[in-house]
Amino acid sequence: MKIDASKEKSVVVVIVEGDLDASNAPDLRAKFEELIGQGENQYVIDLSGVPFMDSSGIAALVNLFKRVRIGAGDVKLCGLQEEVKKVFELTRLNRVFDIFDTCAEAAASF
Amino acid sequence: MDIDNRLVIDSRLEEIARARDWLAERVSQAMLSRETVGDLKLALTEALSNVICHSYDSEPGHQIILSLFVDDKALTLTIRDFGRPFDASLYQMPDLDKLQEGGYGVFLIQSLMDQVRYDTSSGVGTTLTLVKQRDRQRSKKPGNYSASP
Repeated sequence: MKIDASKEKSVVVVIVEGDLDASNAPDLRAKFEELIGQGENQYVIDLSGVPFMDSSGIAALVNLFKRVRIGAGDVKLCGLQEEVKKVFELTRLNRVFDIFDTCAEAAASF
Repeated sequence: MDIDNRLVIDSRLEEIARARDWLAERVSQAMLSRETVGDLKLALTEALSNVICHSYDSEPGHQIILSLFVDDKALTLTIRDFGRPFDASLYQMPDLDKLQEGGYGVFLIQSLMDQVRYDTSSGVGTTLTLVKQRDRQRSKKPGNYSASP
């Protein structure tokens, strides 16, 4: 799995590529931890390069969401592939996260 | 065409990707929809994560035996471990109206599969059997499963 983060205006765009499961979800958590430590609280998570995600990936995203919402921040998701979208639908987390087709739309929604 | 296969992996999270690849490769001959293959891969992943983290307490060096049987009606995947037996009676469904980080693994397995059976009758470990009917509309509600003590 590859993780890249860049800042566009006040929004941090995190691009994740590759399968996301319990073997590498801690890496994503560590990246989020680093960004939160830098005071970032507005995130777009680009999942267009993630063909597979399990509940460990969900847990990492929910953890980030809970933490940034305390400080009036937000987490928006974009580019979900069908298999990943299904996980959000089954867990009803599609009602919690704002999910966009494109990252441009997600970034513009802040 | 029937498919009958077996894979043995070690109790390490890094092995789960290999198991997913094995499953996808084996069922590629079975003419399944992309969604069905995705459901199987996710259920397998969640099941193996639970075995490694809970049955084996994340300790490497223990065997997990996967068996796959496919015929014209269904796919049957069994996951045999020799760790702490899974007590299905203690499992609680996540409250989907509350925002929670964990507890989705078993729920996802049950939601994605047509039958889920936990068998601990051997006295050592658990045999988890997952059955997915071949690409037809499912009628089972999420959360139904059976357990053999």
